[in-house]
Amino acid sequence: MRTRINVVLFILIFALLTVSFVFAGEGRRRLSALDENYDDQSDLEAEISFGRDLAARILGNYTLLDNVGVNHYVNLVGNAVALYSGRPELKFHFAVLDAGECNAFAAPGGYVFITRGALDLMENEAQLAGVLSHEIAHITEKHIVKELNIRGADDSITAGLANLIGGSTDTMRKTLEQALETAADILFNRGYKIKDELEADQIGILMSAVAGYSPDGLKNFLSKVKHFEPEDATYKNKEHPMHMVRLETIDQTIKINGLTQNLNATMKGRFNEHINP
Amino acid sequence: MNTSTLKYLLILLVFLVPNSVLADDFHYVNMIVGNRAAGLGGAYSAVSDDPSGCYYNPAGIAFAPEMSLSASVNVFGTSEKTYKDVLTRVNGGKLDWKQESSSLLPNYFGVVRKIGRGRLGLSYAVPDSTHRRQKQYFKDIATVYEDNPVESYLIHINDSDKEYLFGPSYAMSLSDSLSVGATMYFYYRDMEIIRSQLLQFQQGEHYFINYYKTRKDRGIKPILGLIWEPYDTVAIGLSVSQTIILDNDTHTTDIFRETISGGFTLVDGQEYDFSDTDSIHFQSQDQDNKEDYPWSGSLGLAWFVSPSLLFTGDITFHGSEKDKESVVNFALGTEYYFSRNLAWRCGLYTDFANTDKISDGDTNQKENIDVYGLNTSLTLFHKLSNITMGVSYGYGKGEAQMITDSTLIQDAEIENISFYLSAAYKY
Repeated sequence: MRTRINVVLFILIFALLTVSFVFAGEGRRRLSALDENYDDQSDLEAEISFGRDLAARILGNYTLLDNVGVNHYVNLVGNAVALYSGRPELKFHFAVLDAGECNAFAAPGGYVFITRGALDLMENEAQLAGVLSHEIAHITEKHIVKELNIRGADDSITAGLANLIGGSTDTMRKTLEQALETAADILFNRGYKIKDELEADQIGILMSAVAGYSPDGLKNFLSKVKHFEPEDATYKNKEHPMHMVRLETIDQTIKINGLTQNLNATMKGRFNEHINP
Repeated sequence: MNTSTLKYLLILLVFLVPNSVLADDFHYVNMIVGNRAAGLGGAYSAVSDDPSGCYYNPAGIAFAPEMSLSASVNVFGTSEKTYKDVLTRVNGGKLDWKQESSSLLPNYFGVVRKIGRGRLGLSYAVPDSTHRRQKQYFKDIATVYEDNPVESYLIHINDSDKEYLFGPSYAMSLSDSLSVGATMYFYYRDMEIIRSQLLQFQQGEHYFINYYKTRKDRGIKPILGLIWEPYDTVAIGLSVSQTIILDNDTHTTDIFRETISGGFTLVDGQEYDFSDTDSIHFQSQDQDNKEDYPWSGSLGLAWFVSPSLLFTGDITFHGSEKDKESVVNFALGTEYYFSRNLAWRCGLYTDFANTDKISDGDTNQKENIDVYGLNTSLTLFHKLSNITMGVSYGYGKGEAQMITDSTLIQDAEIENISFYLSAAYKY
């Protein structure tokens, strides 16, 4: 009898150890916390609503460029690459900010802004498409949404009971207000996480290349602006500056994806026609 | 009635007013704190990665998700303590004492959020809350004199005792596998004892006593914790804590009225003049009694077998202190996810008495009842919130000496059952 119990115990422990080995890497993560990216309609609505509020905050800091032609052109280029964003549920809006600095912003839900100063430094449409693709990638990959955990209202019975027990409504409201402040801080001051920037570069290059633009557009633009911009505040390694890392990543992405032939268009003439008439 | 009769009666009565048995100071796990922790029987020192970690092991909150977390727990608990065969009736039948306790209260609330390199927590816990009542009426209680039994005996007890903890926690990771943390709780204990009894003898004498006591303790309870993960799926937790009383207010009032006999008699350490056979004796005093609490240390082991399965265990040592013996308690828990939306938890725990075993021939020994408990809970998850419904059951048997200066020993039982409902959010 004792032998039988020992055998059963041995098999049980062996099975548990095997399961534990299989799931090594998950550690403390519980099943309820896995795959937190699953979304529903309320999450999409929250993303768009949050992005709209953040866009309003951007427009509170900057003035829109009073040039219908330039804004229309940037919207056409932006929507051309956004067709390949993989987020057909989003309607993308592009606008030019009347500011001399070289910058671009992306707010969740499809709101993309680029400054007049950035356009002034660009040489062709491929560079514009590259920058806009990079910003679109921040939106498609939900970098701010994930970091701030922007989620829609939870109308489930579980959530209702939870609210009843813990009275979370006010907390949630205040939290969303705080999230807006944090998002603005990411855009204007501390920047995205390094891995998010690199991911946006990689996806942005592919997006603009698939849309028919030269994949070197973003790289060429970054090479040009690195002399004009301070280093990214989130990346303080002076031996290996952020620009260098980004350019290396872009090179690798182009190489790995077989885009080195660079046969796609730069559309310099059309760019000059609209931006530098 | 002669002096020995009076002495017998006083022996019968005095057990109602000893100072040491007013609240359940004999156990350390009077209420299991927390949401997930409660379902795991309190075996949480090595897990502690949610707001409950502030209480069990603050180092654990360093492993909490990046999102902010909050959790609140509401408990309805009942308890019944029975002392068997305390009184003997004239016809030889035995009578038990039964004390009941119930309370409905918020047992825990905690929030954790990322601040700088670490996690900041703020929590409120009620680790002990009792509202004990006894309302019993006995007739025809035997005395040593067959011709003068107690015709009526009425006893009322209404005790309440609550302990509150509130304070901040901070934890940070020293490496991917090592974290440290600390909690500084402010401690507050609020106790109120109201007890009265009336004896009416067959030959007309009566005896009445009312006892009232309030006690307020203020202090701190620092908790230091460490968690080490030697493997991705294994965690070892260690936490130490001690309650330190900084300030105490104790007030007691005794009122006696008796019509028995004259002479000085010692009652509960006090001499009273009963020469006036129909007098009221009153005594009121304020004291500053700072009680010393022992330090406690918990060592826990958690095995995160898979995202669906967890085993965890704790060994908790409570040191000895003056009238408290050292105790080692154990807790084991498991958690299983049937799906990403439904988890079941189960825990076993011990709550051993911090007193010596009662021995024959001695008097005035403290009760010794070891309690064993079982907890189980179900949690429903949805998106960013979850609710937990759980039940906790504890049962213990032991011995007590209810009668002062008597070598008689009574069997005693404790039965606790509590239901809890909790909610947690990520935001």
